[in-house]
Amino acid sequence: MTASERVDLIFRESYGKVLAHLLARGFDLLRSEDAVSAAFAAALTLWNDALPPNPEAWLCRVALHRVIDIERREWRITPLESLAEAADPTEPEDPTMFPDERLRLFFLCTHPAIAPEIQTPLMLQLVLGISAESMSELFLMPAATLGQRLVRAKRKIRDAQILPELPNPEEFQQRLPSVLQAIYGLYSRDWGTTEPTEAMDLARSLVIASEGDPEAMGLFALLLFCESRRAVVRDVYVPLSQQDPSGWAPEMIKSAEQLLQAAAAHKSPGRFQLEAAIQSAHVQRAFTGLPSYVQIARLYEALIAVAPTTSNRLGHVAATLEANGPEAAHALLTKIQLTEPYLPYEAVCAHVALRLNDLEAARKHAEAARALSKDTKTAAYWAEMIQTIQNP
Amino acid sequence: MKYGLIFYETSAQFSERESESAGQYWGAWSAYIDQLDDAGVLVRGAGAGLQVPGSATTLRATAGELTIQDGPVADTKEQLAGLVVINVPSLDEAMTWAKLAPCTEGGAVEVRPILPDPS
Repeated sequence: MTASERVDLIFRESYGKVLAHLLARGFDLLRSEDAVSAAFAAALTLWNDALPPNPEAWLCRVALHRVIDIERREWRITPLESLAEAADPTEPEDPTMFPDERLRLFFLCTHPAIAPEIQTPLMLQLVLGISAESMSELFLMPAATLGQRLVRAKRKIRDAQILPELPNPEEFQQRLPSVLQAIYGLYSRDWGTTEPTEAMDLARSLVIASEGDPEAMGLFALLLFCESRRAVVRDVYVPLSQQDPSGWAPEMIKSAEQLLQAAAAHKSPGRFQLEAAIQSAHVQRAFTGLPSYVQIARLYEALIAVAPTTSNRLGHVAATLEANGPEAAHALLTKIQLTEPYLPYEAVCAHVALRLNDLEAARKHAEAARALSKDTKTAAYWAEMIQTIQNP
Repeated sequence: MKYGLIFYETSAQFSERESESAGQYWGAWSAYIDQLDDAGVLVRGAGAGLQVPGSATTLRATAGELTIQDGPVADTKEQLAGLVVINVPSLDEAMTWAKLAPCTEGGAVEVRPILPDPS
């Protein structure tokens, strides 16, 4: 790995943490962003051969010095308190305090005084350091327009003094779904590439910060279920139904089950609890053969009622394939309209076609799935599938 | 940090000033201002209540050519009714006070940060 690749990787993991670190100390958002960029630029030049023992702490220190520098030059009055606090050598550099600071950054972006349509791009930029250029396609907006709107939002945060604080309980509830969604997005982004420990830490902090909100517990349970199986699919892609449960992490599964039970006691089901319940059902089924796919398909129906995403509907099709056979699954598939190519769709189509003994269609969908695979192990799985279809 | 709480009222709210419920209307406003003052957030002498929009005169100049219009700047559903300045640590606290204004229900309150002192 080259020095710049290493810095890139640390940038992905640490950008939001370093920024949150400065904001938590009362520094201005726009200046803090400049200081964080400067710290990463310094890392790129200075970390030639060896990384510092704790790269994040290094970045925090450099960014902190930098932001104080910027304030000294730009402000007529240096805020003495923040200088004294920043220079305090006894200040702990305990990484466990990061999730809470980053959580506050997530909540800052969901403030009702910020236009709803810019909140998600703002989260991606402030927490993950993603540029307006890289996001413009995702939000169907020209990069320049998106960039301007992001700057406007950040200026508003600065000028109107919107503080990175956790909101009061009532508003916390209203803003929680966006934050849960963002943490889930962060987990999905890191899942295939790096250890998604940050998303796990954030989900855990959110359970504590929300004092055991059922959906926060649902999300953490869901992530624990996903994590418990990650070791199995690290090197080769194996569909869930074909995985050997002995390779799963039992401790994580146990914690996830406990969380899910605690969440269910609130009797306030939601999207993440249902997704975790589906994971739980899959896990139980792998060990005991129970519950049946009929029950899993019912859980999917409940999930689709609250979150009718394509991905959830495809999960429903896959469960229906096992519960009620390929004809029923095919009937559901025909109702799904795609706006753009989607690997899980091709994957489910291929499996349904195989069960219908329509080898031609199965091959076609398997090839589409292979073409859409973003990593080599998934592509390898589909290449093998195509081989099997051609030479049964 | 100082914020302007800028109050907007509908014509129905403005007309309450001259109605049978005028006592209630003014009572609500003075109770609100007292509340801000008692909490120590009101910047005294920095705000004002305004007469009805119909009493306004608007002036505009284009290339030295002055036009004078009878009435307020814009003919909108809610009209400027007054403002106060408060001093609180964050937008969230400013919004908490704004919610309590008598005109929020039906009318509107705009929360706008005040420019810092140039000194």
